[in-house]
Amino acid sequence: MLDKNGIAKRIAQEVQDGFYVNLGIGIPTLVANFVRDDIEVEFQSENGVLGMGPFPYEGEEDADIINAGKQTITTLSGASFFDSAISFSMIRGKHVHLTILGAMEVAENGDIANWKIPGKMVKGMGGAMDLVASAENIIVAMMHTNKKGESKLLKKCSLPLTGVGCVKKVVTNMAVLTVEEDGFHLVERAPGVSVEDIQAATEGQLHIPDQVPEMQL
Amino acid sequence: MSCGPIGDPRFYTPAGYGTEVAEGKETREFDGKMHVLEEAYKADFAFVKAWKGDEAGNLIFRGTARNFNPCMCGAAKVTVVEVEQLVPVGGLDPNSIHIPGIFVNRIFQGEKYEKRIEQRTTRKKAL
Repeated sequence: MLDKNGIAKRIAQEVQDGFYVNLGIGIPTLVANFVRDDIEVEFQSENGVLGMGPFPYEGEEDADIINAGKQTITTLSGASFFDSAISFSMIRGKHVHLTILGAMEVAENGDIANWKIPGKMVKGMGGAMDLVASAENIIVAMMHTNKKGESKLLKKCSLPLTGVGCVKKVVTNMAVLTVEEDGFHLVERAPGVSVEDIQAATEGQLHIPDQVPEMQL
Repeated sequence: MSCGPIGDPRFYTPAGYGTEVAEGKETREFDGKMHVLEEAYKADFAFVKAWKGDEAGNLIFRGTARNFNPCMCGAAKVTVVEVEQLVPVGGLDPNSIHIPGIFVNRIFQGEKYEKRIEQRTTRKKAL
């Protein structure tokens, strides 16, 4: 079973040279730490920065340099700032190659719920609705089950949706799965996790091939 | 929001299709993809924060504090801007202006400026 860093490490393998990548809040933010250093990748944060770098050194935080999760960040050379309209043009215009998001639930048809739990205060859906509606290459990074041990890979989302039929790939602490027309397809399993464990933790339709390789991390 | 300043009353977007925010709204298919008709956001007042401004209302933003601030300039009947530095007309390079003063109705320099950080994330310097 992987921890959050393990999930980020596996997703980092999906990032290719020349990609512009949007990272969501939570586990996706960690992906930047594991991208190979022999490739050129620019990270976008939808509040208005391309070329995001690591967190600043203590004492060098700048209130005006933050990511969409309001965390203080740095910029790398070649970075740029822009307003949110330009930022969403990058997303709606499909200029961003890969979007990595967290989720509360994903359904077997690719629906995603990640913005609101009824009864709990939310500040808004942020850029998530734009991202999921427009991005063509979305990877969801999340734990396979919730804190109660219930599956987050469902037949149908129970929470309010962020987008419909948009998720193509999910990487969890247990597995890598693709989302296809007939449901989830198991692609890889995490070290030490059996196919039976994954099946038991997956409520949605799960297709299991004869061979399920272990993730190479 | 970006429609407000240019005067378009509404626009189609794929964002939110099939979710509760699209309930009751007109939808239409373009290029095989469903879109929702949204009305342009128009407010009575826009309260905007910029970094530098001149007395003609020309504005420069700093870092990611730009975000939705330029988008709201002109998207309200009255746009009120607070700046950290207010300079006389001619004090800003026209090449560097992010928002021209035509979209700005009121401008003032904030007093006792305090910048708060909501999520202070740092790393330690390697020794």
